[in-house]
Amino acid sequence: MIEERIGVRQLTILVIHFMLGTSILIAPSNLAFVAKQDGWIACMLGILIVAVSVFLYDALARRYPKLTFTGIIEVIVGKWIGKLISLLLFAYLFLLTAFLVRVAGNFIATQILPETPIEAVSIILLAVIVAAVGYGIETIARASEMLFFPVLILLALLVLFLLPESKPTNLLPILERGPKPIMLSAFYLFTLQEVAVFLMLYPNVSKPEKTRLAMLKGIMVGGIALTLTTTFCLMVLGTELTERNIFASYSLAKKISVAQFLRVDAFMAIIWLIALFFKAAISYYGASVALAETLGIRRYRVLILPLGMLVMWLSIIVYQNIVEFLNFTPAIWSLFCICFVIVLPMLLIVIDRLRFGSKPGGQPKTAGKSQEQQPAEQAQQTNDQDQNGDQTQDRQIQDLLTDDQGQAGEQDQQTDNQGQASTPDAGQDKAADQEQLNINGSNNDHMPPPTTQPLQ
Amino acid sequence: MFLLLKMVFVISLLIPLAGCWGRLELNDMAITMGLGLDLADDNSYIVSIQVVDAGEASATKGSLGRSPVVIYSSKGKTIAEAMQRMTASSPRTIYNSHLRILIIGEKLARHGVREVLDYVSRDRQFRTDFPVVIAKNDMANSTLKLLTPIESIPAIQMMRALQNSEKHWAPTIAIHFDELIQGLIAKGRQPVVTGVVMIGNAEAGSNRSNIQTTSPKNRLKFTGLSVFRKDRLIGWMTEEESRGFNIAMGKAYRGTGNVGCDDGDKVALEVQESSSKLGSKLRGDKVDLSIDLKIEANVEEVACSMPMTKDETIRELEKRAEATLRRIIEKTLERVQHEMKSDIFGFGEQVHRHYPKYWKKVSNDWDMHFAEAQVKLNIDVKIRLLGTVTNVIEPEDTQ
Amino acid sequence: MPLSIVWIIIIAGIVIGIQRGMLFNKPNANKGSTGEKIAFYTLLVLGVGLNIALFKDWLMVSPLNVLRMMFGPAAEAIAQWGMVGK
Repeated sequence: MIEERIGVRQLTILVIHFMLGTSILIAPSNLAFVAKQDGWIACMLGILIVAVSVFLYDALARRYPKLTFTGIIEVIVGKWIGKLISLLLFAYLFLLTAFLVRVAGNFIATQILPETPIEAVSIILLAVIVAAVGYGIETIARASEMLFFPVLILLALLVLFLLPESKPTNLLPILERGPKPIMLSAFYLFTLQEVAVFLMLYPNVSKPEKTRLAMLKGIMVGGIALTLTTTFCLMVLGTELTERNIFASYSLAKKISVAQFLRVDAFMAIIWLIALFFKAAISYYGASVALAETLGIRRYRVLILPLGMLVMWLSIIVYQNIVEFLNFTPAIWSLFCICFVIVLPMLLIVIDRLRFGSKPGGQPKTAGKSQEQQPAEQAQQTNDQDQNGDQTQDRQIQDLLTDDQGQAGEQDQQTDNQGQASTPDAGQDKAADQEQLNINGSNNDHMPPPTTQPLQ
Repeated sequence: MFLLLKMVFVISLLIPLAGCWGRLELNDMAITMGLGLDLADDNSYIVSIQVVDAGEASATKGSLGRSPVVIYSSKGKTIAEAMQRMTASSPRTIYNSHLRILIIGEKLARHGVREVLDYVSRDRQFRTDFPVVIAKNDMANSTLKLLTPIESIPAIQMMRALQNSEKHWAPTIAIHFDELIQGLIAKGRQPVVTGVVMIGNAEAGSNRSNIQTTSPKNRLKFTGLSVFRKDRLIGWMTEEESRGFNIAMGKAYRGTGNVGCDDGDKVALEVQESSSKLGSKLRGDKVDLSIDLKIEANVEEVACSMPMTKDETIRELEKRAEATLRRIIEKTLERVQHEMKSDIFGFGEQVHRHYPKYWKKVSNDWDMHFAEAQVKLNIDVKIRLLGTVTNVIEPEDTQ
Repeated sequence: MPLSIVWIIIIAGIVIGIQRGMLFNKPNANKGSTGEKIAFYTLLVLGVGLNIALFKDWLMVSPLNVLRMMFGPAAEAIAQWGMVGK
């Protein structure tokens, strides 16, 4: 039973924003630094690897469609080890959010508002992020849809106006230093995408069977945008300048002067800020949900405010100066990411198979229900419950999955007693839902129904 | 209640939007139009800026008699220090984002420009689209002082003049700041920078009386290009040689050239389209370089009496044009390749692109290899149009 | 007390106020379960404490150093492998 629904297209758009987030500004410089003029090849390769990793996540999530990443962890490896690992995952997401906020502050402080202390920018950005997550992932998804077209248009303008100034010969000689720099660079790029964060959102997608396709579409579009940006950086600025400029694509935007007077570099900053905001919001959502699930708290919203203060603190402490950042991010952060982005999912899949065979684990405590009973129960609850539309959809999905896989793959069914339906408050205002969390089935069988209390 | 709070919160979020922390009012700004960098005798830098006096420059009701621009100047061990020191005499905050031209004194250019350019490229206020020139045999300081007719702000005048003459007069090209940086960083190419000379004298030129006549005694003129090696200026090219360079790089634009006729007089051809390709071919241990030049020209002025309507004439003119161009470019090559030994054409980059392994071997002393390489010229001129008339004006004998 | 610390405490106060008003209310699922309250207040205290420490320049050590220690050598090795002839 998930309350907040993200449409399939919204997922795609979220992924695109996520991919553009930090990468569009920092990646070209890093790519050029390692792979020199072959940076564009490395970019494409990195994106391909990301796309492949989606299949990995899909394999994991398909078995537990209603669980977030932390939920899946706890089901597969057991409660206590699971909580430990979930805590680490939380740390990863938390760190990620802090990084993003800090990088945003750095960029603005360097290029746009040089006299403003970074903290001021960070606080404002953080306030918006916290508020956004407070409104829920659904709201964030809708906002991303709205803000998507400006981003696309601005990117298109970038490409269009730079075409006349681009010199493809700057991309030669190809493969001058062999494939190794390209592979290394692609590896760095791939880990920096951090797409695994979306595993925290999988349960929220309205049509789980379409999740994989949505993610792939998003990755492809985001990847193309990123590759185009990198390629143009190399073609227009040349390898040396791309390496040299920390915010290479911003320098690229500075070169555009429409009719000799219109300067569009501010637009680039806007695109980037929007994309970064969504990346940070999703990461923060993931972090809050991860922490809430680990601690067994049902409403992740409770945590977002104090957690915000901690993010503020961390974002300042996380690195002293930009050189640290540049040295740390590709090398060490990428290895840290690998743990969560590749190693963990793979391990989970393996353990999952070993432990539970063909049926995913963690049947609810009130199990002993056979498959036939479940639809009946569902029907009962459907009738009784304050209708959100969730239930029927739940059932449809359940049927679908049951048909596909022959499993009773639901972890978090409405197995509770109606007596617990506390709020008759029928403000069906989905936009302001207060969300109830679904804890993994193995340790919780009581799921209070969604309280639809609008945030006042 | 909470609704009110939320609204207050949202509205309060609008306040930081204006970026008030770093605000700078327009009339607190001294907008720098031209920047001049020089080397002082004790190896410290002299930084001069040409700042607009807004009230004067755009005076609609008749000027106040002041100069439209003011020059501030100061010394420092680093450029940044000099800029800071300048604020002691400037009543307003110096704002560099609208820089129109950067002038480097020749002494500084010969000493090495790497350090000064770092400041300009690192500082966030400077953009990269302004041209750079070198004050030949002079200090940038003096060059900035000159007042110019027509355009009240000399820096803008210089920038416009440079851009215009780039389009119409072959020896001049405008090198923009980012091109210069690219040329400096690139391993296979050495940069060139346009030179500017002063005719007359700076002190007299900084007086308004200079521009109160029809032909000002003191003015600026763009001359031939300077050749760099690494980041030091090593020599100047003459106008002819600069022309050769530009033509060889395919930048002849609408330059005009004279071709000799049979009877010793000249025909003027104007270039309509030109394109050039640099080529390199590896031959064992050496590399042969080549320039392929394609030019389409129109006849602009016929000062001799060759019959213009005959095919042979045109072909003859084309051949002569090719020969003339060949001569010019060869002269340039002679000077740059053998005398100055600096690859300003970018052959090195070509070699890097096509023969990366060979490039690895020679990249460290490429200029020496360049000096010894054979450069083959393939020039192809095609004359397209004759203008609006065919034959020359032949005054009839009235007997 | 330095101004920034006052600010931090004010913000903490606002946070508690918002939380109380919006999430720990009676209609909102039993005033917030005990677990939630513990988590919330712990995090809040942590947040306030750390921020104050930050402003007083204590505890400036970045937690990233842990990561650096763990992954340092491996990262070096990978970089060496990839960056041929730089």
